[in-house]
Amino acid sequence: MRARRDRQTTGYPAAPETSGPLLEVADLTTHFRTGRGMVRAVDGVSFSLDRGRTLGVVGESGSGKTVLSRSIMGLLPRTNVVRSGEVRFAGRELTALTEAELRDIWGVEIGMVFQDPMTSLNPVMRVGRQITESLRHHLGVDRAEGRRRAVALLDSVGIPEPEQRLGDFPHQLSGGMRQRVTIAVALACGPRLLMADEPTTALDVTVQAQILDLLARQQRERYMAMVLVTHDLGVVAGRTDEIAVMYAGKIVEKAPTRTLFSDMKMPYTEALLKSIPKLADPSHTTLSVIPGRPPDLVNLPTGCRFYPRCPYAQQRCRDEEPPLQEATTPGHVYRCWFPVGTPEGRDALDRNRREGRLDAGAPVAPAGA
Amino acid sequence: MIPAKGLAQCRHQLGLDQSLPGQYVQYLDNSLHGNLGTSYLNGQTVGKAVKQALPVTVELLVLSQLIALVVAVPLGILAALRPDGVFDQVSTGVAFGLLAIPAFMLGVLLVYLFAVSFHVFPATGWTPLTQDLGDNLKHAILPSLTLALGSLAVYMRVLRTDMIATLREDFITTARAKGMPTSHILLRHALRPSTFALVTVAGINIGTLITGAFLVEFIFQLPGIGLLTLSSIYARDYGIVQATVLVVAVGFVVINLLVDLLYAAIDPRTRHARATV
Ligand SMILES: Nc1ncnc2c1ncn2[C@@H]1O[C@H](COP(=O)(O)OP(=O)(O)O)[C@@H](O)[C@H]1O
Ligand code: SF4
Ligand SMILES: [Mg+2]
Repeated sequence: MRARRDRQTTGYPAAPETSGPLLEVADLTTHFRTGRGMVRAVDGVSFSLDRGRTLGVVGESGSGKTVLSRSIMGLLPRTNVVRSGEVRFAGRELTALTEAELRDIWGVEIGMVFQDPMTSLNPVMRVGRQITESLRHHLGVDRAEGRRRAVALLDSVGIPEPEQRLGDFPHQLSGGMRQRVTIAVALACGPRLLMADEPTTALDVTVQAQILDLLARQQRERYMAMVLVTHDLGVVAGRTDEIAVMYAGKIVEKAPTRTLFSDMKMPYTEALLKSIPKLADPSHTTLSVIPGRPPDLVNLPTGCRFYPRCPYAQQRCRDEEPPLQEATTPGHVYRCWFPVGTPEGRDALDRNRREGRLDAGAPVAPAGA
Repeated sequence: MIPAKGLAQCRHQLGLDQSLPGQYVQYLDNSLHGNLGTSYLNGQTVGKAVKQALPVTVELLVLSQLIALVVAVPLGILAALRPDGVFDQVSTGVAFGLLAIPAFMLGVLLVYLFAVSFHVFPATGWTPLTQDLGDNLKHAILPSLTLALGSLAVYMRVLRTDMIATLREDFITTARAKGMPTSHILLRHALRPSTFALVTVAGINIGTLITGAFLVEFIFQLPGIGLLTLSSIYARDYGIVQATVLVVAVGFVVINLLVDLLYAAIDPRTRHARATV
């Protein structure tokens, strides 16, 4: 157990330094065998993430974001899963590791924050134990040291009176405080990558910003890479270096954050953006929702998967699947035949409008307005 | 023929000449003062008879439940680890098999196997715990096992079901994502929140178990409450029957109280909910 002793002295994992990106995902595919057929939840996803950088993964509910993050970790069900592709993390191929080997990476090198703090903490275990157990298991620290570090962690995630909180059970804390605890749990062993799967979706709007700021601060201070998964484009807007937009198991557009907002190419990204409620809007402003539903992942349409809902869609979209192509800005890629803001795109939209085929992106009143 | 005078005297001694409510008040008063009356047969105090029999039954019950839990908990956990796996299916089959066999059949079967064929354990009889521990256990093991097997099957199934549900909870994924070993996740994270139904069922089971104990004591001729009750019924020794029924009822209430306390020990949420009410 040499690794264990090394970590004990430095406090943080002394992992082998390798050049190149921290995380490289190549053509990752994750399908589930079900009674209805094969559910193609993640279908050929590639991206890379450098140390200390943040990637936002955005898409509607059901687009495969959770499966993608679990598939990267290797935290998938044991049966009826078909996974292919590569996940290189710090020079190691995670898909080749056994679960026992992955356990030395989970929690130590990759931390994970989950969506619902009401259910992601053990209700019958004290908060302190939930933080110290991984410290004690992975880093071999003793009880007193574990306690000391847990107090420091709770303090750093903004929990008042951390000593007292150690003895609390999760139900004694508010939702926001619980999410702070789960972040402390994920950060305990000093991971180099943090996977945050909708970390604010279950929280009050006022608390959401606090938790996102906390994540951003921890990420900067620890020089940690972060994958921030959300269905809300507004969440990742100012807080990520890069954004990947997912639709039906595929990345359909990926760009540096600023580029994505100023020069989006995908009609789907545009539709997502239109569906963000803006605080500045008067409450009666109509909100655009994307009509229709994401496709059934068992019976995917041929051609572009957004075709049935796209206001730009043409015959070609139905026949041919658009390949991933590069835009002018480096690092900006998208899959679309009639991109937003191009002459072809404008023509396609105009033609649909003229022919009365405009069904997507139509303004509708929010429920109850 | 009993002379009429003696009869009247006897009635008076037993308090049977009082009105029914009067008899009841008298009985309550006596019982609360620890006086359960005397046996109609041999004049021994009922209290003494019960005091001799009770430890036998309590030991039988405690041992059987210990055996049942010690076997059922690990098996239930293992079965839940891979639902519908080989282990789960085999243990399910065996559990339903055990449930299908009545206790008296099992008892007779065990006696035949271990006492008659192999002479490992005595078939009947009893040595008090205070007299010789080894000998006591030798006499207790077959009856306890007979009583345990039914509970064991139920406990295992109940724990398995809850455990499977718990293992699907988000906090288990959190524990996995922390890189905790499987054994730690099963024992430290999943077991405790999976025991509510087990505790409830164990509490309810105690009723069935007391009936079972009566049968088992009869089969193995153990001088417990069950045998005492049965022989007293045959002999129409009502004083004793009355007392044993009381003991069983009190035992039932005590067990249910313990179950309630156990809930609070298992789940801090109920503890705090009560504290704030
Ligand atoms: N274990 C599973 N078995 C079958 N289908 C699954 C399983 N897990 C997820 N899915 C399916 O995969 C798709 C993507 O799910 P998910 O990644 O949770 O979406 P998101 O996180 O983007 O909302 C959904 O259609 C979901 O039903
Ligand atoms: S324009 Fe065509 S290719 Fe582009 S998103 Fe719409 S349907 Fe897909
Ligand atoms: Mg999700």
